[in-house]
Amino acid sequence: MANSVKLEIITPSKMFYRGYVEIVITTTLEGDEGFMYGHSWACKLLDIGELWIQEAGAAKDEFKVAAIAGGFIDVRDSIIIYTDAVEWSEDIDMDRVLSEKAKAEDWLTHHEKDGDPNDVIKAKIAISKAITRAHVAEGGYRRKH
Amino acid sequence: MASNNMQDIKRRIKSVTSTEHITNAMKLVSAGKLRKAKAIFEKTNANSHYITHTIAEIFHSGQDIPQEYLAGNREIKTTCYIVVTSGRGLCGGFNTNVLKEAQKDIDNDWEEPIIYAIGTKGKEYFEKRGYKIYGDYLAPPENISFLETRKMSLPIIEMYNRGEIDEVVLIYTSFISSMEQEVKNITLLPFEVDEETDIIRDTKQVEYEPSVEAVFNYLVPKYVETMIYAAVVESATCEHAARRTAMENATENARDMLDQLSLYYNRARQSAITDEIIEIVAGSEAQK
Repeated sequence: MANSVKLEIITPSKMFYRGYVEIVITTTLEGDEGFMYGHSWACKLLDIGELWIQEAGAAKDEFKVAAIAGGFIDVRDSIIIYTDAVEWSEDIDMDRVLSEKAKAEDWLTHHEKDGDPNDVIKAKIAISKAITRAHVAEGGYRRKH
Repeated sequence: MASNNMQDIKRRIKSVTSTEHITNAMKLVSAGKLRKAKAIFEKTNANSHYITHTIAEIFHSGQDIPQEYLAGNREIKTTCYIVVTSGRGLCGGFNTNVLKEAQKDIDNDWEEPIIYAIGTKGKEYFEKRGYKIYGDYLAPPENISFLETRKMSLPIIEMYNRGEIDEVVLIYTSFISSMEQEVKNITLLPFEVDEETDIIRDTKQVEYEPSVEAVFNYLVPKYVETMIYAAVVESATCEHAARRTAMENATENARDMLDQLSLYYNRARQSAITDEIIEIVAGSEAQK
């Protein structure tokens, strides 16, 4: 068993997760990356994506999966992930995800050219968040492929 | 004459009693709201401390921080004040204390300040005095969401980056206990690096990705947002605590007043009776 490292995931309104993990895998702006005990100190921005956690003492392929809406990770002697929103796969409400995705896509088809650029970006972000959450709800992209 | 006086006192007793009912009910409502707000506050407080601490740590340990966010690198001319007040009155000195502190600070500035008002009371105050109000948030503060604070802080940070404002000051009420609140005045930007903090300056190399600038450009707005969000939540808690105290005092005063009034009423009644007896006695004496 490898050494475990303390992980804390914080959102503005609550402490989402606190515990010891073997590895945490997140999507940074430059690609997926795994952090384990003794990782060199880092401060990285996260993209919208999946968050994989293998808790200390868990079986080799037993992961907890969550959808994360960007943020940043601060790796020191312990790891802190700070994000605006994060959800465990089992808490994701599929109907809401799909309806939000449909709404954003619908808006985009009508307004992509003439809409406010900020709104267009927002809609695109909403779609990518929805896609991520849909993947996560089904157990994660990585597991599916 | 005496009966007239009695009528007056009776009427006053009635009005004070109904006021007492109202203040007492408001006290109970505030106590309930305070409990709720306190629960939210305690949850966010722990986390926002955490976040600000982390961010402060990064600010301290990083050597290549973009200079525009550090104190002492440009002259402070225009200041943006974010003043957190409540949307409703009847909460004692809660709003006055915040506004007094803000006014004191503004009076010390040479240039005209820009004001961001959270809560109607602050907005009305500054509007009346002809200050430039850049923006406001008037919905009840206890229901604020993080998204809304982001919408508030984004334009402020943009203004800062464009150089239209040189300083961002947050004035809000900080919660010490249910009985005690204190007005706090925090400079959000520029970030002041305090050399003597207990944060250990580590020399370990930290990897920044995609780049130091990118990380800081992300962190600075985050810091401002978090601070504003925490301040609004804290201020809402204080508002309820202040209102509860104010209403408790009002109820107590009303009860004291009722005691006094019923004393006067009884006195007036007694003297009326005495007058009547004297009249009867005098009448029967005269008939002898």
